[in-house]
Amino acid sequence: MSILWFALLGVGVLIGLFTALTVVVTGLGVYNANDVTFWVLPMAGYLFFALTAAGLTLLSSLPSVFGMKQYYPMAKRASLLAGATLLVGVMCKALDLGPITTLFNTVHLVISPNLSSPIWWMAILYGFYFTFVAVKFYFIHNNKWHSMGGKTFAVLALLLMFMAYTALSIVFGIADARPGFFGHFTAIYFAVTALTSGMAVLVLASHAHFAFSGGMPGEQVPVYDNLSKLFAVLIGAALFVFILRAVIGFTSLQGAFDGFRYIAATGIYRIEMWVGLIIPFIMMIIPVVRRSRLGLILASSFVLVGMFFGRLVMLLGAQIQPMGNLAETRPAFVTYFPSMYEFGIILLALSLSLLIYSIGVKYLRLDATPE
Amino acid sequence: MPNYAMVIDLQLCTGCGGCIIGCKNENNLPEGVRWSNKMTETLGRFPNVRYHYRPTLCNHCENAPCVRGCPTRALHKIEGGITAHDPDKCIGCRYCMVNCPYGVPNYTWDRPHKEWQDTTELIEGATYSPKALVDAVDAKGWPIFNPDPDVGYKAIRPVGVIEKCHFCPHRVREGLLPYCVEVCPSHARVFGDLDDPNSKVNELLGMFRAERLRPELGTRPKVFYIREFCPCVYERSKGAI
Ligand code: SF4
Ligand code: SF4
Repeated sequence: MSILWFALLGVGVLIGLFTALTVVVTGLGVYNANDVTFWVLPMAGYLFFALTAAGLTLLSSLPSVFGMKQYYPMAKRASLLAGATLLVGVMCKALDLGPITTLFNTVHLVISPNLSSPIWWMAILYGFYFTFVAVKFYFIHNNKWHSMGGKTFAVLALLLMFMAYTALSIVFGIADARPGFFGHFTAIYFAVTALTSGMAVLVLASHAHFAFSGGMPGEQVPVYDNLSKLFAVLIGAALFVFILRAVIGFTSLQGAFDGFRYIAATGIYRIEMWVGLIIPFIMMIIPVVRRSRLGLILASSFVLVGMFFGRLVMLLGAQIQPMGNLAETRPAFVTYFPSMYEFGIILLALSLSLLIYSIGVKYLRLDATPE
Repeated sequence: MPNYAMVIDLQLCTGCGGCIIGCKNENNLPEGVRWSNKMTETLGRFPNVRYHYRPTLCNHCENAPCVRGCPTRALHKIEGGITAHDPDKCIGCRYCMVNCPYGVPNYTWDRPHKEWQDTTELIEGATYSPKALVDAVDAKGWPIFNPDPDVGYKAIRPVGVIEKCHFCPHRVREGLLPYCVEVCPSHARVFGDLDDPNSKVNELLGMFRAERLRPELGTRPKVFYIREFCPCVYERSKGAI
């Protein structure tokens, strides 16, 4: 099983690497993007993975930073997952910039910074955030949870998560030209859904692991039981912000929300709503489902699929209505379907994050707690 | 230091698109990219129908959101308040495309003028292939390559960065007009210094009620439209139903 699983991930990584190489050599022309819909699937991948990482970082900090000691058994796992999702998230963004010549230009983030740009803050803060998450995991792995370094990097990773997350929210929040990004409401939407998708990854990764490794150690049952309940609450909260966003989007008289209303009538919005929120919420409030491993695996998978589509909904809602002179010779709403290369980037991100986690499960004793 | 602006007289504009073509030639724009553009609108019900034509370009906003949001200062202000772009600093993040309310920045998705690299002859042995033609006239990129914008910008911008109208600073510095103004056959475009009380742009702004695009966003565009063209007369009525 293990060999087959690693072989499968290897194939995914190889296909993904071929895609990434094509993008780096030829540029973004291989994506089905254009000047109207210019932030598409790879950007949705970035949002999905980076926000999931934010949720996981917070969860992994519960015992070490907030003193909720009962959650130690999941902290190392959450910490590795945070690093893996953050890495692939940043990779998705890098593969959404351009060919190698453009990637070289990123040196100007350091030598020609623009402090009034939220994108600049986001890039820099995510750089530090990833470093701190990696160093934090290093300390945890060496069982130095409570050393000076361990504590410092746990706090720093959390702090940088908040800062990077804030910068990301402001990127959309200040886009006055595109109210379809829902302005600063997006910060709230991101906060709740980031936590929900982080929790979904933790629930899925843990229970899938226990399913294949012969069950959950007895002493961890109350921990994961609590997490399941928390997961149910989080899906409920995500459903609440989803409804709030729908109310804003549907009741606004501004034409800028027509794109959102258009997207809301499509399949991807329905997937976000039904698969990502309503169905898993119903599943999770039924105690017998919430206590079953299969129920948890299914519900968390559903949430993640829905959240991914949700990121695309958010991006496309603000873009599919051509703006200014771009509306010339175009229909009121443009259509978009990802190219094989865009799917390839997501495949790479998914395979790579799963590979890192699987290596962690196999070699890094992810349920280790402080002695 | 001048403060450049443009006034477009909609009564003089015939909608010929000469500015669009002129800009493409002057700045070697790749297929599908337009710095100088247009917005049209058709209103009414047949037979009472009207077609409105408005030439557009970068508004060189005083309060440019594209400049504020650009992470590496690739978009920046140069002399005269021109919103300029440096392709060597551009990281292709396309945040300017999010922030510009007018749809001005274009991202170069493919190698520019790549169709001119085609070696297929239309009639074998009788016509040039696109590539042979470019080589024959010793041009770069496409046969009518203009090297002039190389001063301060890149004559042809590379793949993977954005590009946009720059008010032709390579011409303005030489005392010439931006090329769209130069080629406009009906003199509908007037370019000048807003800080010079005697400039033509100020004369026109002092005479006519000017309109700017999406002023409510606070971008303070520096392209002004005057004299919406309408030759019609109609019979007055008392609020007919
Ligand atoms: S029109 Fe757009 S690209 Fe030009 S200065 Fe204004 S915001 Fe920037
Ligand atoms: S695409 Fe280039 S010019 Fe536009 S905001 Fe990003 S770095 Fe600046």
